Amino acid sequence: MAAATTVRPRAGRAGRTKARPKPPLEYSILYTATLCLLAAGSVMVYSASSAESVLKNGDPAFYLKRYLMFGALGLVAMHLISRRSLPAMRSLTRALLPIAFVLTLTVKVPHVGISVNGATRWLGAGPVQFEPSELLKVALVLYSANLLAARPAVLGSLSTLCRPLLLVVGGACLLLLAQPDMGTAMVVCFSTFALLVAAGVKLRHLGAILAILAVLALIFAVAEPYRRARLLSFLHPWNDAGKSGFQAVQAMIALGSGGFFGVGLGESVQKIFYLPEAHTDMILAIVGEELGVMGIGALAALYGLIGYAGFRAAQLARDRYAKLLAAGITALILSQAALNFFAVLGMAPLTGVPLPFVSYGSSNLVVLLGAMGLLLNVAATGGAAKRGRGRGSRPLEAVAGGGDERSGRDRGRGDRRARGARAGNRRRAAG
Amino acid sequence: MVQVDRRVGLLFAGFLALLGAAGLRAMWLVTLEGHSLRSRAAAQQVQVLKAPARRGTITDRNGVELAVSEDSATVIADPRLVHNPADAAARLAPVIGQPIDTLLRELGDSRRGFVYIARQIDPSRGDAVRKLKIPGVDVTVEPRRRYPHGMLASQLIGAVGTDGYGLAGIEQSRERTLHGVDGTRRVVSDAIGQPVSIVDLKPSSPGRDVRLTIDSAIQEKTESVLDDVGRLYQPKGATAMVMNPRNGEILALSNWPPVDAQHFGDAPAYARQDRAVGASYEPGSTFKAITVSAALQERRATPGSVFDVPPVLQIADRTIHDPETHGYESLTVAQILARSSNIGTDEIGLRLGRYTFDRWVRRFGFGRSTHVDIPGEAAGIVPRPAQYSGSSMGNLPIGQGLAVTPVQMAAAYEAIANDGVAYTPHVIEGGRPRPRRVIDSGTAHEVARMLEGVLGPGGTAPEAKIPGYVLAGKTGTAQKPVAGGYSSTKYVASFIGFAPARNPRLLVAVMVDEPQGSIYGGAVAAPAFQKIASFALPYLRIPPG
Repeated sequence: MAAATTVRPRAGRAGRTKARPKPPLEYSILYTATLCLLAAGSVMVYSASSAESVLKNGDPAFYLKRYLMFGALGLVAMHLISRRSLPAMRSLTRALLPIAFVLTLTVKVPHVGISVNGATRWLGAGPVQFEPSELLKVALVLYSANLLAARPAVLGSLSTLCRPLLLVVGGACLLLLAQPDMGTAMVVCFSTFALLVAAGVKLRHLGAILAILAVLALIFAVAEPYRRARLLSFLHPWNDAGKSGFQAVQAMIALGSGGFFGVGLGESVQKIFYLPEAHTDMILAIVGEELGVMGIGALAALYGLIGYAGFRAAQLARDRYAKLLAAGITALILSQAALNFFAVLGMAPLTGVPLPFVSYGSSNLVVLLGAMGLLLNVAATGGAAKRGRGRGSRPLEAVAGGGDERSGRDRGRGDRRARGARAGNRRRAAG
Repeated sequence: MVQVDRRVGLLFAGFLALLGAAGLRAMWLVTLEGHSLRSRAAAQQVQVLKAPARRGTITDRNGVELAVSEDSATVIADPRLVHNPADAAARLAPVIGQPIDTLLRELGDSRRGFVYIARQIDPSRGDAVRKLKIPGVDVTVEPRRRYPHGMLASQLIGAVGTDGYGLAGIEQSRERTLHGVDGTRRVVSDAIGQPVSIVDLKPSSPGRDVRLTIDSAIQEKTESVLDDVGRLYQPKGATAMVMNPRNGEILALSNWPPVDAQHFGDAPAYARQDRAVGASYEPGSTFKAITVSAALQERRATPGSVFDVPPVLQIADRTIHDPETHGYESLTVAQILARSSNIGTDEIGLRLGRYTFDRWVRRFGFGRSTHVDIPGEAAGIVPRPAQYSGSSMGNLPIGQGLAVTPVQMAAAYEAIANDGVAYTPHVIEGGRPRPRRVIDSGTAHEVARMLEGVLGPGGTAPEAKIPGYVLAGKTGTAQKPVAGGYSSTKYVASFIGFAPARNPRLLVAVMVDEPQGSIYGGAVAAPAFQKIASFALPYLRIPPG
């Protein structure tokens, strides 16, 4: 349904320019799945938050309005990003990592960062708040994809891998952990690792990195008393159901009372003060209570579709950067989704990760929709290129791809518009 | 590039596996763990609550409401939702009528999710609280027990706890009639206790009314008379009972000091007790009528039998004195009763012998429950003849060495007043009290006639008169037993009488516990009898006689 409404305006515009092709399947799947998740998100955010917000603010739609506002903002960003040429975006995103780092550091400046529940993660004033760690998360994926694409040589040994890439990611993770924001740090680690896998790092190197990560994570988890408590309460949530295990226990109670088909949309009782963060990190539990395992399964299927289309787009992409970018963003979305699923279902400690596109969380929503724009960009252009290659233009593609990797930096600055236009032409011509 | 594509495929498979694992876990939770999770959900969300039935009304014999149930407002709060406790307390205080400090302490305790701010207040004040629209403060409806006549017969009626169960008196003894059948309702609540949905599982059925034999006008008079006694003699307590001797109906039953039924639990235990049925005391001279009735019934004496009464009488280790010192006298049984001679009564008792005497004491109903329908009845203490000491027959005939309750005393005099037949005393209408013959009607008439002398010249209560009515009765002035003997300062002053003496329709028993100033039954209790009877006789349209 959503696919049809999405495709139509594009077709309409194509009609104007006469030769607009039907977008590739991956593009449609990604677009559709994202809109489905947003639709589910708006319904569930309203359902999960209305009772509490009417009691606290008197406005049942308080969170829904904000969700829709930021969703719309994110969709605009997604649309714009998906339409620009990929190399242009590549050069644009290069500046993103330093900006994100600076903003994330700014949070640490006393009286500037905003604290909620003991964690200092936000910037901004009044109703407009921004979480720089969300930006950092995506910036890291873009940086890693760019680095691994531009300098394949770093894959050779662990030390070359470390020097720029792992040090940057590790530093970012330390910064995140200092907030503390273990959830985002874990998402960053997972998606970077996925990128390394995709980029073709040797398996034994991957194993070593994994082992180091595991040891570090364990030390880190045990070092802080509250994290140790969380870990223990994850292993035995019912032992301290009143305090440290409270959220996990309430989430499981919500899921259990939902059963297969749920208690019905809007009928959740757990959302009214029983389950903290019902409309953000714990929204899946409310989905489970109101729509049952069927609802959770539907969401999992949508993420599965994003995974399929995202990775497929990576495979079909015309160059190494596009491939790694698509794989990285898909991995980012999926690892965040998986971490949230696992936490809510009691399979991982609670780390406070929102469910992509569904949870209320303004920064996360906008940033992830922007990232989805990049993924759509790859899905649109990459797919077309592949098809073009299928018609015998393979050598040209290989040269173009290679050239991109070698001299992307020089050319990216100069003739952004020309390249954009060329890409557009090619897209059109390919149909 | 090919390697990248392969690795990307690997990633897809990996993430698919993760999502699959999550799906399996969700299935696991709703299937194998589903039952226990659902019961945990029910345990915290669902309450099956009692829907309190409307409690029956207690009325007097004329339908005057003495205890009624009505809807009241209960103000509750969730301090976690009260944003500004100081402001909320300042706004609530004038409406509820509680100091701001107290309210602030309750509202400011943000760790709690539920506090009672005010329970069972007037619905109008509840509406006023509702209008304040303070977030976190809510008003619910709760049934409340009201006593429209305030402290009237409060010990008899008793009290109901805030949870709607009778705690004392008729409220307690008639709980099953009054309470009705509570319904049940299923309430799904959110985590802060606010109901999300309410479904009535079983409707409640209201309790039935209870009608008492009490006449609220006589009751009110009795209480005001006891109030006067209380102010005049500063006793520890005073009890009065008004009865219809023809059928055992209790028309008034009053205990001083009074107790506020709304704050029943705050009163001291002595004040809460319905001493008319629950207090055992040594009756003293009022008991002499029993000894004389027994002697007449046993044909050991007639009203005219003359006894030689010495100044003192030695019985075993005890020397018996009379209230007024006198020399050797010859007194008839009637004179002995009128003057309340201890020595004379003991001589009559000695003629009966301990076993016969004991048989008549028990036949009059002493030493066991009268089966009055008021809870908390005491049986009194009557020693068995085998337990008698040498001096017992010097004590017991004059009402010492045994303990009785006011209702036992009233029931015994009922037999004398009602041609020898006693009906079980009762306060609840609709019962069918059983008559019990205690003495022959001839004996009853003779004793009643002799009791007229008590209020005549030369009697112990000559001032108690009601124009147009012939009264009969007996005074009692008993020393209270203390450790090792009898107190010389603590007395129980009592009077039991009935009117009109020849056709008794009204019986009044008055007992004053530890009066100060005057101690005599004739001075303390007889005037109370006179005041109560002079109101009740015309009120009940009892013709003079």
